[in-house]
This record gives sequence, structure tokens and C-alpha cells, in this order.
Amino acid sequence: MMISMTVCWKWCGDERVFLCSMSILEVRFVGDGDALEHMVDKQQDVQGSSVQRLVTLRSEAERSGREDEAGLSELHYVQVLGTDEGEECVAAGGGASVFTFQTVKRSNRMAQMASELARTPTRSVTFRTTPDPSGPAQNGCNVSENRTPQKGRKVQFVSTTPHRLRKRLSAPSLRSDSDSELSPSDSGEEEEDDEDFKGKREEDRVNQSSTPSKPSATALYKTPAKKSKTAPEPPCQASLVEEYFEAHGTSKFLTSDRTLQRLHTPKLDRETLFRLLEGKPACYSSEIEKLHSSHHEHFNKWMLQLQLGYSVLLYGLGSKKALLEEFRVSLLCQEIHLVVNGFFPSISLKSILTALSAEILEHQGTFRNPADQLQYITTTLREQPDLHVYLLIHNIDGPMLRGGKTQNALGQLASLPNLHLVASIDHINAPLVWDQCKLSQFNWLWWECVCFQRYVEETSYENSLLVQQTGALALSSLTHVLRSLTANARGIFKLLVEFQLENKDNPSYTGLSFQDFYQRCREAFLVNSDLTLRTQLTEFRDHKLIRTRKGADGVEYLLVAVETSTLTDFLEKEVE
Amino acid sequence: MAAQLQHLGYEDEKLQRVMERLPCRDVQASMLLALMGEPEQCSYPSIFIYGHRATGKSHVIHTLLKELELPYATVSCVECVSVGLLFEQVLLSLFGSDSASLLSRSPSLSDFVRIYKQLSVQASAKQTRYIVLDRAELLRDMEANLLPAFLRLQELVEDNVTVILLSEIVWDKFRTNTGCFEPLLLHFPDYSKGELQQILSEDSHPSYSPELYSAFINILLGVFYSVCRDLRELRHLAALHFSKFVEPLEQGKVKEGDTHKLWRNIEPHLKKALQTVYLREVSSVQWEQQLQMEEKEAGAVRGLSAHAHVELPYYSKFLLIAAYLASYNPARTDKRFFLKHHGKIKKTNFLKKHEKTSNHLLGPKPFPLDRLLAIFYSVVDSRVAPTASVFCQISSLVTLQLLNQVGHDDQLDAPKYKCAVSLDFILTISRTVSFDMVKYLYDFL
Repeated sequence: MMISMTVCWKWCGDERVFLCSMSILEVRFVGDGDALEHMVDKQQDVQGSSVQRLVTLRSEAERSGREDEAGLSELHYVQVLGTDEGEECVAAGGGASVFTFQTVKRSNRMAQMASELARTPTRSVTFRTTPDPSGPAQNGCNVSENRTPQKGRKVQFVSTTPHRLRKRLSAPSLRSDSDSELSPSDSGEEEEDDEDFKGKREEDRVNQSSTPSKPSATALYKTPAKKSKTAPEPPCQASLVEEYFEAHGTSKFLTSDRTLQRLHTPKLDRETLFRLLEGKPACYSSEIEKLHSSHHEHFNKWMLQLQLGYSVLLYGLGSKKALLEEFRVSLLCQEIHLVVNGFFPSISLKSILTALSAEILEHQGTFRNPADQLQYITTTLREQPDLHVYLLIHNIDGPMLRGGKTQNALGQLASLPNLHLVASIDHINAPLVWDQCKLSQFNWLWWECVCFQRYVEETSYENSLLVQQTGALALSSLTHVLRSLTANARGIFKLLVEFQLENKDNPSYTGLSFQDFYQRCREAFLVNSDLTLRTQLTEFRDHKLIRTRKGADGVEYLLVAVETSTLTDFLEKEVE
Repeated sequence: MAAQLQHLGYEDEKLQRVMERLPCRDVQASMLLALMGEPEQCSYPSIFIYGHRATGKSHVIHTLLKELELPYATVSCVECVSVGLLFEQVLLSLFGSDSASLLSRSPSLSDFVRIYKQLSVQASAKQTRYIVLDRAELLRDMEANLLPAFLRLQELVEDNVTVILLSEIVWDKFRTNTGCFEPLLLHFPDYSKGELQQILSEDSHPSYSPELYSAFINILLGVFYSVCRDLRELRHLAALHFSKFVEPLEQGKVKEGDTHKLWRNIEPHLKKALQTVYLREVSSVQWEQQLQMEEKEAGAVRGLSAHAHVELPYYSKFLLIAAYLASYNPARTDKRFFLKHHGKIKKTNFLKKHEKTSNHLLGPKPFPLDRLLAIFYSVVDSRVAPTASVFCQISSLVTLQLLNQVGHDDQLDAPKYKCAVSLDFILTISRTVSFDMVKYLYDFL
């Protein structure tokens, strides 16, 4: 709940094209077959692993031709950057605001900056936007609950007050009396201030104007219109914090008993859902299109920044896949590049590295471990400074790429001078993936690209409660399901997986018999009776993790319904 | 006492020499000699020796084998990260330098047995060969078949070989599930106070009489014996403090016989050394150089643990403070500390039975990310935008091990953390940002 709320709250910055995309969400489900087809038609000539890759190798002639151009085009980039630097540098500004380091002691400076951020409508970090009440933004969006009823709307209304004064004004209402006043020297004048405040409130009630009580230094600024306790407060940070504590204050959590089972069709299959959703008109398609094309202007800038050793990171609401795809088509077609779909549930670091070493560097043979492979790629790319490789990662925060090891390896790749990285993030907590050390490796430039495009392809792999699942479980959903189980249940499942992997070369393998499995589980101190094991197996069956089959001799045989390669990956991940 | 030791297989002078080098261990040595028998005789397949740290296990075995000139191989299991290294070391010291080349790159146990057999046929020994495995408890972490195989190596290679395992852990912890050949168990007991006195007094200073040194050892043991019975540690302390002890003698203030004055002089220093050197707060070199030579007052040098001050960015400090509050305050009490209209809630009202004990005794509790951020926003006195920089600082605190991530299965969706810093540390930090920490801590209400 918290997260979804903050999502809206964080991304609803752009006032001009603010759209409620929640209610008109259209989901297209792409099955395994479709996904495969999709990969194949993009892959063109490369076959094999689960990474969707797209490698275009330049011919020698082309390469030399482009090298002549390089000087020219670089000049062109600089010109491009020079001309439109002034007029619209939203993203660069956004990046700067993301990484501003504020001074320590002068907290009013920080408050000013925060309010400044809040007033600028195009920034993503706003927490006090004042959106158009007539716009469609209000319905369906959670933020509307804590929004001001907008009386006397002024943009400056928010707070241009210096921090000291604002704090004093809001002190009785914002802070509890047990709350400490931070500097001990202030405690003496606190009461005086309080009285002062009361007097001022009276005054405020009388004339409703925003005259400051002290005409000295604060006269320059406008005070907030009114701060009586009955008036609803603007949705500032303090109230959000309070809402959090209110919501989590009680240990009682009410759950609804309106489950999916009470629906007439509890679980639709993919086709039905697709049919139901079909034909919904897309609202504001022209505006979205306009917004989308406005991002195209930055392509040359991105290209220049990539050449200068930065990595480009896109964030914002909506799917950024199409945008990156257009970037690839328009600028990277002649370059050697690799496209990685981070949202793909079975992607792994190994497959990315193999794509780099086998397809781009044309290395035959195998490596003992990913570290070796990374070492090889690093040294080879360092030896050939003329070889430029572009790495495009859709969703670098995808479920399979979140791990520390994977990000470390990607960071090492990104720090190479002739490997250029373009990536997008979607998760609200995505910056948690990187610490300072990794950030210095990646050298990100944060570009805000709010697209409002639907996450059609990205969400097609996720298992939803509403939809019946088809086909074998992918690795991420396998780990996701197992994560919620107890340690013993995981041990039981691992035992079965290991046994199945031992017998993967045996074509006549029909599964592990229940008696045999029970014996093994007992030896490993995982179950105490066969009833416990049966209960556990029922749970596995509900999650479609295992299949049972009656053998010719009437004995039950257990099989894991997941592909062997996925199981191997799963065991490797478990060991980590 | 050395005269007690008599054995058929070995010359008397050799035995005499051995016993001189093994003070207070003659019972164990004679027991071992009896077990080993004459050099030609077949000995017991495996002997397991255990005892506390610094009870002379390795020393006794090595002196015996070396002085009696028996063929032996000593392997420290700490050094052997793979079994291949272990096999190589055994073969090298038993059969000479060219033997290890026969081993393949990653040899298995059967390779080792085969090559050992092959070599022992070529150079069939008349004497028992000994393989000494020091720190044998690490064998348990290697391959499961290794320990049982070493215990019945005599049987496997058909050679007169004895494996001696040295460990500080009792044999019961070594037994495998499927059982194994039981070795002979031998216990090395701790040295008593008298024995320690006797052993330590042996290495006296050349320019002073042995009686003086013995008196010094007596004083040293009087201070340190209650906390330390480790021979090596005591020997180190004795070497470190002897120069201070004889200082009055060198200055001519006290005569050698006046033990009482010498004791009065050294005793406070030893007490101080108990707090600094023995805990490795101040290194021995520092102690010698600064305190002894320059006549500085001991304890003036700040030890390692006094440097618990780290410079952090402003928001990182508040994040750490928020993490500490989240870790040590129950979540139910958040409303009371961070909400304006919490009403009058006293501590007794929401004191549950199990929370009567202090949260600081029970250690930090895990908390989710959103609680950390909520507390962070409410303790920072200015507005903070939830930028990437704030999130990266949380991850950086985890990397710096000031926070711990709990349960590594969920990295982005709802990560949980624990605060890993002490109260003193967080008080120092909160003082630098002038935040009254104690006022917000539930335990100190």
C-alpha cells in the first residue's frame, strides 16, 4: 500500500500531461511461444540462449568509413548540446537535483531548495505539487486523499517562508510536546514564541491575510495562509510520516474476506482476459505521442555522454522499452551493441557475459566461473581500444539482475572506457541496488523519461493472481514461490531437485517414488512423519511446483515440473 | 626423573636428551613411547591427542620424532585448502622430493593410496612411518571420506604407518555418521600453577640470577593466573615486563634480595598491562617503545577501541540514528515518539510482559525500509527529498557494516535491516548533529 502510494506520489510530477493511467491499463499477455517468436525475429541470426541479443557486426569498410565521420559527428554532438542546452535541460536538472549535496548546518537553505523543487512542476522529486483540480488526475490516484481543497490557490502558497519561521509556525501542530527541540539554546525562547504564535493566529483569523507577525526580516516572505488545526494540511512530508505511523501504530491488521474465489470466474485464462481487455480505447494517445517524441531530442546528447564515459540511466513512469528501442534504431544501428532484457525471468549474469564473450569477442570455449569470464572480457576490451561496444539493458533492476554480484560485474563492465551502458529502471526502490562504490563504477547520468507507455512486455512474464498460469515456471517465479516457504519445505524441494538433476541423463527416469522420498527426507531430518510430507507435497502441487504420476506398479512418482536448466540455475542461486 | 624413562628400542642418551626438553610432560612422553614401541614393530594405526591450547601437544610429538630420528611427516591442516596439498606434503616429507610429481593435478584419495603403496614397495622402511596432522578438526570440513581413510591408512596402504591427530576438540565431535575406525585417545592435561612456574623459570635472563627471575615469575603468575593459563601468553608477558621489573635494580635503589620492594614497584604496572596489552589494545612494540623507554604514564596512549569515531555525511548520520531508533524501539511506541497527537501515553500503559527486559540487552531487532524512512523524515528537521542519493547512502551504510541487511532474499521489494552500532557510537554521532538521542529511546524513558 505504502509503495503504491509513493509510486503515484513520486511520479506524478508532470502537470501538463498528467494522466491517470491506472484505470485504463491494458495488459497483453505474451506466452512462451510468443516470447520466443519475438526473440527470434529480433535475433535474426543468433540462436540459443535466453538472452535476447542483437549483435550487429560492422564490416571493416564500414568501420573505417565511420572513423572518418567520427570527428565530424562529435562536433555535431557538441553543437547539438550547445544549442538546446538552455531551453530544455529538464533531465540534466533532474539529475542535478537527485545528486545535490546540501550544506550541513544551514537547514533553511535546504528547506528553500526543497520548496523550490516542490514548486517546479516538471521535477520528479516534488512532494508538494499543486495539480490542476479540473484535470483527470484526481480520480483513481491515491494522492488525492491528502490534497488541499485549494482555496486561494497561489503557487507561492506552499512555502517560501524561511525555515526557522516555518518551523516555529508549525511547531505546536507538527511536533508533539515530548518531541525534543533540537538546539538547547532555543528552549528558553520557545514559550515566548508560542505566545507570539497564538497572537498571530488570532490575527490571521481576523483578516485572513498573510501578514507576518514579525515585520523585521521575515517581511520579505509570505507566510502560509493559515495553520489552524481544523484546516486540512497540505500533503507535506510531515503529514505523510504521520500517516505512516498512524497506519502502523496498531498491530491489528484487517483483512478482507472478499477473495477471488467469490467471483464467478475466479481464474481467467490468458485468451479470455485478452478478449475482455481488447478494444479499450487508449486515452490521450496524441499527448503521449507528443511526449514520446520530445524525448527523441535527447538522443544525440545521450550519445555524446556515452562517448564521454558516462552511463545513461532512464527513470520515470511508463515503459521505457520503446524509447530505448528507438534510440537503438536511430543511433546504434551501425555500432556493435547488445540488448539485454532484464525483465526476462530467466536471465542471468552468465548469459549476458556469454553473449559478450562468444558473440562479440568471438571467443570459443568455456570459462570456469563468471569471474574468469569477466576478466577475459575486460582484458580483451582494454587491448582493443578501438572496439566500442554498446550495452542496452531494459530494466537493470529486474528481479534476476538485482543481486550484488551481478551488479558488481555490470559495474566493472560499465567502468571500461570502450563499453557504453544505457539502462532503465522501474522499481521505486531501485537506487538501493547501488552503494557509493558501485555508483562510482557506473558513473550514471540520470535522465527523467516519463513515457506513460504500458508495460506490455515487461509484465507479460509475471504471474498474476487473476490469470491461470501456463507452462513451466520460470526461475524468478520459482524462487519467489519458494521464498515464502519454510526452511524445511525448501530443503524438501531441494532434495527432490537434486535427485532429478542426478537423473537428468536417464531417459527412462519416471520420478522419485513417495516411499523413497520419505526415506530420504527422514534421513535429512526434514520431516517426522509421512503425513507431514504429504501436507508439504500438497502445497507444492498447489503452486504447480511438482507433478505426481501413478506408475505401472501403482506407486506414486514425484516429478519437478520445471526445466532442467532452470533447476540448475536455481540450485546455483540457492548456494549463493 | 628422566631416569625413569627406559625403552628397549632407543639409546639411553637420546632418551635423556628428549626428557630434558620436555619438562612436566614425562608421563605423556613415556605413554607415547610405549605406544610407538620399537622402531621395527608395527604400531597402532591412529592416535588421537587432545588437550587445551598450549599444553605441549605438538612440541612433545615433534621432539620425540625428531630426537629419535624416526621418519615422519608433519602437516598443518590450516594450510591445506585442498586435499591435493595435504597429499603432496605427506609424500614429500616421507619419500623425498621427486615423489610428489607422481600425483595428478587434482588427486583423489585413491590416487594418493595407490602412489603411497607404489613408493612404499620401492623403499620399504624398517621403521614405523608417522604422519602428524596438526589442527585435525579441520579435516572434518574437507571431503567426508578423508578422515575415515586416514584413520585406517595402515590397512589401506599395507605399510607400517601411524597417523597422529592433534586437536583441541574432543573425539566425540569427530565421529562420522557411518562410523569409523576408533583411534587411541590420549589426553594432555593443563599445566598446574607449579608446573607453569617451573617451565617459565627456565628461560631466565643471563645477567640476573635465576632466583630473581623465578621471583618475578611468581609475581607475574600471581596477577595473571586467574585470567590466563596459556603458557605462550604468559611467556610473552614475562618477556615484556621483565625490563620494568629490574629497573630499580639498575638504578641501584633496591638490592636483589629485596623482593617486597620489587613487588611494590611492578604490581601496578602489571595491573595496567592486564587492561591494555593482554587485550591487544596497545601493541607490544608500542608498549615497549613509548611506555618503558620514554617513561610515559601507561594508559596515556589511546588504544584501538578508543578510536570509535567515524566521519559520516550529514544525512548518513541521521539515517544511522533513525536505524538505531528503529532497531531498539518497539514499533508500537513509534506513535508516541514521532507523532504529534499521541495523547497521554505513559510507558506503563504499553509495557508488555516480555518487554520488561531492556531492548539493549536483547540486541537489535530487524525493521523494514519504510519504517526507517518514516523515522528518518521525522527526525531530520528539514525537508528531505527521497532522492537516489538517500537510498544509495542506505546501501553504503550496509557496505560499511554499520547496518546489516537481514534475510538476503528480498533486495528491493521490502528489505529489512538491523543497526549494527553500539550505543556509545550512536551517542557520539547524535551529539555532532545536536540530536537528543536518549529522549527518543524507549529504554531510557
